[in-house]
Amino acid sequence: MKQKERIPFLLLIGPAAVFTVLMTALPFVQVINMSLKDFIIGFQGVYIGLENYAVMLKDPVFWNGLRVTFELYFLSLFSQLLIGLYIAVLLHRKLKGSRFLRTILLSPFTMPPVAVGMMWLILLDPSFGPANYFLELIGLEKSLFLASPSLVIRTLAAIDTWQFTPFVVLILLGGLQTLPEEPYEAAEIDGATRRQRFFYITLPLLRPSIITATILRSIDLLRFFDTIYITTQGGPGTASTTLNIYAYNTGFVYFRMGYASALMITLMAVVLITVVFFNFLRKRQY
Amino acid sequence: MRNRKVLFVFLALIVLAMPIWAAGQQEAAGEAEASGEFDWKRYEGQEIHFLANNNPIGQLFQKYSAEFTELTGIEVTISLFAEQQYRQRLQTIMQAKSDEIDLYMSLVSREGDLYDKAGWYQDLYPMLNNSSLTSPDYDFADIGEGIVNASVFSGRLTGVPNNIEGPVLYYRSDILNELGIAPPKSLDELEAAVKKVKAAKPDMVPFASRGLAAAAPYTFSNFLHNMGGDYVGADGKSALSTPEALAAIELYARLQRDYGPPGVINYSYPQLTALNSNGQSVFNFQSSNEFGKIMESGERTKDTEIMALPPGPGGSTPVVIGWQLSISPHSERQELAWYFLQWATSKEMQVKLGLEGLAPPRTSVWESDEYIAWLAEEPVRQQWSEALTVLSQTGSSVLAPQIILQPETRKIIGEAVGSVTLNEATSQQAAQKADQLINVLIERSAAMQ
Amino acid sequence: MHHIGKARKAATYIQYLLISLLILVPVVWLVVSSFKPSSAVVSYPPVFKFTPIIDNYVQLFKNLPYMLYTLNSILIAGGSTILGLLLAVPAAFAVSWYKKSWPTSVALLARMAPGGLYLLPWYIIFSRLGINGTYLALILTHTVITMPLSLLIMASFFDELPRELMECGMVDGYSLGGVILKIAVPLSAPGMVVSTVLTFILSWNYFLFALVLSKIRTTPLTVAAFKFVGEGVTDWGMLMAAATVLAIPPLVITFFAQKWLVQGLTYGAVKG
Repeated sequence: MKQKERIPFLLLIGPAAVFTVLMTALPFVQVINMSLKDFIIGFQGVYIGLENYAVMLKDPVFWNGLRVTFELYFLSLFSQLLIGLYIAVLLHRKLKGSRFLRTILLSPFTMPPVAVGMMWLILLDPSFGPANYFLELIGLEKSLFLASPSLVIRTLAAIDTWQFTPFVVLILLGGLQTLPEEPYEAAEIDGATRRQRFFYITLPLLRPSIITATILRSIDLLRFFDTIYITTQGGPGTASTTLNIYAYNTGFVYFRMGYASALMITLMAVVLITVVFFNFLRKRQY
Repeated sequence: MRNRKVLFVFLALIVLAMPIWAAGQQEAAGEAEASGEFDWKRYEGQEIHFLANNNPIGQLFQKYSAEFTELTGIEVTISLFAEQQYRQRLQTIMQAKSDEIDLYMSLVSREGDLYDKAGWYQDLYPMLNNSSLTSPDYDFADIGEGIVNASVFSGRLTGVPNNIEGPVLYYRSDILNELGIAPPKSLDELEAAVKKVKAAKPDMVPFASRGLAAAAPYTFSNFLHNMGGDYVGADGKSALSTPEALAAIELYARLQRDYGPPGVINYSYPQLTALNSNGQSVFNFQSSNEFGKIMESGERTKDTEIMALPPGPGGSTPVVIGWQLSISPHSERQELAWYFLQWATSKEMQVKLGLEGLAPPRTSVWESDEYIAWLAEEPVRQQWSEALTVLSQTGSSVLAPQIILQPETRKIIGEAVGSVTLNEATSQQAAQKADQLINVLIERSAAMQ
Repeated sequence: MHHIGKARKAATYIQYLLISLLILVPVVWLVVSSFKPSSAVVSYPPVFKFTPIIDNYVQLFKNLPYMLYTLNSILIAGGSTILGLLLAVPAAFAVSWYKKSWPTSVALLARMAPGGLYLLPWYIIFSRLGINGTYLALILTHTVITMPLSLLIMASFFDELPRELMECGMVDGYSLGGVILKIAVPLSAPGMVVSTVLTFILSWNYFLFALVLSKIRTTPLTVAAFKFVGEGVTDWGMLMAAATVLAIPPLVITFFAQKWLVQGLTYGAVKG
């Protein structure tokens, strides 16, 4: 950048930068500092170097948390991309009424997570939830949903899919609408089937949009917190204790703030690595 | 620090033309007046902030707080939060040594050691013994000595006990009569009864108790004690792998798994109370505090009876605990908070709470005409009161290893029992894993002494 | 696009309908249940026919200070939206004009941290500054999440503007600030709408910071709803009403701003 440009640039980003540094960098440094201490809320912390991180590697609940986090992550991301792609293609047909559907699509992900959590808590209640009524109506057995350790992750993934697939749809739809016409025209001349057109033209061209959606969803899904905090608080047992929930409980429910800080830093590193990886995938194409 | 403040304020000023809440500094309390009459109006016009758990106790204080304001002229703001959120707020406030709250509810049997070591309890003895601050009618000695002692740590009074409670066995006597089952006199008989109920009444829930990990030790401990087990062995280590403890885990898990409601693993008092009050559960082992709610509709008063959990091979040691009211050492309105505390734990207030189904720790309340008359109105009230007497005379408040980091051990215990309930592990596997995790916390707590 | 046959058209419509139902039924159930008495909410099989009552809402607004909570939510969400925009617009212009991407990366980085990370440090800092629990403190914390979003959205909208227009402006003697205010912002009006609406909703919905950092007088709706969540659940009808009160404003705003939102989201905003 030229010297002449540097000053207006700094002036423009200055307020935002100062704000970000004050509000986030400072706490961040404090949390790194806490993660190096044996620090119980209410007590004087003692520096113990990287001991918290060493303990973490031997902590079965941490590994369980990592497994739960990634199970939930892959399950949710996969279904959201798949269903999202399907709906986006469907909407791209631009029939009358597709605008109406697009409006509806906005509602789930603009709803407050607290309200969404409360809503599903009742819909899926094992004893009086209407979801079970519906299952019985079509001849299936009642389900425990969130109260079952083997179903809880799938149920949470389904709730998140309900809420955020529409968001993915809108991003992918944006991608679809900017696709060039020429490859399709060429394909038509070559007599390609619809399926071939989709797999050999649409999908590759849509890659940047898919990766954008993946990155945005990854950031939220790896830190999965809101819905769990409201519905199961990590239970039954530790079946839905994601890393974020584990870190939160360790610090704010069970006082071990030093260890909780180490967990949070680790989680942030996991998110960062994932985002950098997908960013690398996106850039590689060009 | 100052620069940052300037920046924050500056940012705010350019953006916001809205009022900023600034809590007015309260003036320090004046010197006590020398007059003989106790002056309830001494702090008229001031206000205090009370952080409470949204359980029946917190809810009742909210219901009656207007009476306190009428008596003293002190405005009370009560922040009611669900248990987890209330604790999380309290911790943050205390860690920051903030004067945001003046008094709060605390479960001394769970967190007493930790809060005391961390210095979160103000010693109440100086205010209690100050005749200008304590009404002559207060009669502190009326609160049972044993109960008070649970709140005393190295000679400091960390709070005033506000209720006594514990899990009691509610059961549908009409169903038992119909099936010809006598009220169980032992844990074996309980299991046999539950089995019969299941066979005869497939639509009902034969047995319900807490399954939610962090809450389950409240009910499980009674089973552990009665089976002859304990949380900590003679060697000072976690003792969930002893034959007695394993038997207790298996029994509790079996009752939950085979005779409990679907999804019992997430059950705590709200779900249990729902089952209890709509009459769906035949045996319901849960908090005595929920009595008022269960009987509210009037439908259960005639068909429900109450007793303490029957004894097992290890005899009978019920669980008895109590919430206390504590004052924050960082509060700048401690005397006002003490006024509220006095009012809340006074004889008059405790009678009122008693009539709502909260067992009072004051002896005089149990002997008051009003309370006795209330109990006499319904046999089930009498039974409730008798069960509580058994609890308070023979009970133990050991719900987990008695260490500073006890709260987390409770969750580990609950998870161990839960994993057996769910058939995810054998009792040996679950106990072994829990022992290992708890021993780490025992060592960790010892290092904090 | 390509011509679509009749049968395929019908099939598409059926799929549209199914998707709409899947999205709408839970929400409609929530809203309808909030007009049921508690016992009807938890009855099984579910009650479909009932006389609607407004008791749940009356209780919320009469026995609990829900008016105050609503006002608090508006103040916090509104304040953080405005502050976020004020900080983000110049920064977004700089990012777009000087083709620098690191500020957006940094903004994204701040979003990657788990929310719990900030709670304790903020509480301690705000206590020392004596602004704990004030609207100011809550607005500042919420701006941490609104500002990066505004920055991302506005930067992508500014990217779409023809450079020549702004260069003309500079030739005409506008300062850089003048170019932003008089040319870039008016031309990106849809972007401003999208960014305002989305950040307002984001801030309205966020609960974790206020859960710990608000005081009783500054409690927003999200946190007030926690009285009905978790172990203490007793009144299901009121829970449904509380969730509805919380969810309605974002839904209404979304509905009215849908034209810009769909465009913004599909074309510009999250192009990344």
